Amino acid sequence: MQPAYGPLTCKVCGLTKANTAAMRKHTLAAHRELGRNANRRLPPRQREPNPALATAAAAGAAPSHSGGSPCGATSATLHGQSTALRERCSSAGSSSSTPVSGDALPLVELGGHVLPVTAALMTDTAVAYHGTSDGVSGLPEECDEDDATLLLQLSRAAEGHASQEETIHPGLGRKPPLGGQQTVTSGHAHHFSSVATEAQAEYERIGDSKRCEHAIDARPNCKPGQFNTPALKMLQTFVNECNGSGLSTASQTRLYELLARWDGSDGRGDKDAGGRARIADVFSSPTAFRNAVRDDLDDAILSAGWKKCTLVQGGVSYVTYFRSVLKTAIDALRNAKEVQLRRDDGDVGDRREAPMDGEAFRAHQEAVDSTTSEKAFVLGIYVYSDASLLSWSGGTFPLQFVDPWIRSVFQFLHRARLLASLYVSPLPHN
Amino acid sequence: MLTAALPLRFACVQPTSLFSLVAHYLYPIRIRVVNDVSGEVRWFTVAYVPIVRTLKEPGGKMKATGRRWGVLQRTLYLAFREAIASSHSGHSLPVSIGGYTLAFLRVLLYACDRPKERAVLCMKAGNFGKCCSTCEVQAKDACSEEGVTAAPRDVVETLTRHLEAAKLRRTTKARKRRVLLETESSINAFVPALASLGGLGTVPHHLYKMIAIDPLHVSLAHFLRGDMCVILHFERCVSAANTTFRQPFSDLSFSHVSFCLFSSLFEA
Repeated sequence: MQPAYGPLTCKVCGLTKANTAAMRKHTLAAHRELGRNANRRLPPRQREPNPALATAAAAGAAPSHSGGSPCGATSATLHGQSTALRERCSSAGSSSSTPVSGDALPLVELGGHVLPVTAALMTDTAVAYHGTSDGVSGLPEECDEDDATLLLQLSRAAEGHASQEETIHPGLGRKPPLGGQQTVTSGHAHHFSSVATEAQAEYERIGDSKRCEHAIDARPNCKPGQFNTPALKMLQTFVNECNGSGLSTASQTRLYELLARWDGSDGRGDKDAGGRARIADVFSSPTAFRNAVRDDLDDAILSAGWKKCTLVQGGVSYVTYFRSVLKTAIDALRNAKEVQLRRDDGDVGDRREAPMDGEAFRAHQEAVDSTTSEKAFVLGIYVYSDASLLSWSGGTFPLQFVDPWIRSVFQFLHRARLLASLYVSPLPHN
Repeated sequence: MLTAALPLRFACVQPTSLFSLVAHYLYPIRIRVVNDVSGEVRWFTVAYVPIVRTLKEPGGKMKATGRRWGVLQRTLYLAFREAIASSHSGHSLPVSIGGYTLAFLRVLLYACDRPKERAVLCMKAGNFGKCCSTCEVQAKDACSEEGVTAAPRDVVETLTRHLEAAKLRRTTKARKRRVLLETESSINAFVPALASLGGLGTVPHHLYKMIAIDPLHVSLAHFLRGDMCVILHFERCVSAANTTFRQPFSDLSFSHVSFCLFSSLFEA
């Protein structure tokens, strides 16, 4: 089947037009005598069977009624097309594979290399469905064994031809892409529809990923890495972790002034009071000190891959911060001292002590092994989040410190053999 | 710096108001890699979900609930986007790890509280309809024989309903059909973002088996409103999980998980 879009060439004057509409306009303006069906992509409607084809089909189909091979009809109508069907018939030793003349070619325009085969197959199908020259017609279920074999071979030929066309021209016969650009399919996964891919498409349609940007904007001409000595690194750690959330910018200024006064680098005291390592020798001013702290933090955030995105949900804008789970997990795996990538059923047995021993990991591993033949492993992760309510202890608070009333409730559950320990296993927290 | 934006205030007062004095402005989502068997449990923050407050507007509470679903799911999708894209055909590692160059990321466990569980799975909160995320039991049958023999939730079927309901919500057509879909399966007209991850929305379909509930997330105010029927149903779920699923946790012992599931029902 020829493409439904693309340039067209006029059969009369050879003029090339970019699309169907332009060709139609040219035909009606320059070749009025041809009528409106000239230079169309699709062939004009066949109003009656071509007598040449009918004769050829009857000649080829005759042996089938006399007990011969049905391949003759197929070979005759395919006329020179080196298809698998002809090869099959030739290998079967058919004696009726007489090619017909060129007049037996389809009456359609030869605009593409697909049309002869299509027309031939249609003719074959018509022969198979409506009988042969003797005028005997019947439905497919009324066919005899030879006719059924013919139908089967025709369907196989069509199947092979279709797959070949799909390989050669993947975009053939489809709707033209918007903007005149060729459609690029990425990966085979998009060729299959499933709830997972549809769910993914649901979020891709929203398009949040296109609006992402870096979590912060680094300062122009920033200079990270100025805290490059052990003493300065200790100072940086103190600034970032003091009081839990670190020092404010005002406190950083006061700290700098304190250090400058202490080592005498503020110019008001003894210049040699602090020895060689003085704060003003590294950071000339409180602003430089604050900028150095900020540059290091910005660099750490950007290098970790943090991004932000503004989500408009229900008419209200929210800013969310995130980074890639995949990259984080792989980095964590690379930095791990000891890793286990595969679960061996023989080693695990009935043991259920580690996360890798679980049935869930085994199920995922079996699913992955059935997906690929390469050496692959399951990168299993646990996810933890607190959103609706808050675990103030992060799951690390021993229950004996809890209010006695609460503790009594937990102890009740413990007596009911639902709680093995009064201590709740540790979970992360800020 | 981001951590500094999360002030935490706590005051040990009466149990009913224990959690009411806590202020969070961003909610973190953390992950842990189970392939790391070095013995040190390390959690990595991958996202901060913004808090959604209820605005003073007509139907503000319901609208805020809808916004929370959307913000949570969209943040989850952004964080898991690369993992989702490579979870079906694998992520090729430029440098091999232990001789392997192809990794398939899978979520084995999602630890959260009971409301978060409903939000992650895009299900309706409350003790009505199909209140259990793992099976098809009705809330009124949770304590009866039907609660024991209820069929497990079909991931593909439920997600298909999610997709249809989400499409209807987007097109604002066939509202009755959307309400019917939401009511029948106790779902919201939003698609779970994690459903597109390999292994959850695809074989072995562990979308509803990955949830484990953190007991300290459960508000004690809700703790007092326990429904005995739901208690017994969750006990059955726990025993079923103990015999069939058997998901072991190194830092979350199974008794702890049982307790998580058991305590979560008090919030329903």
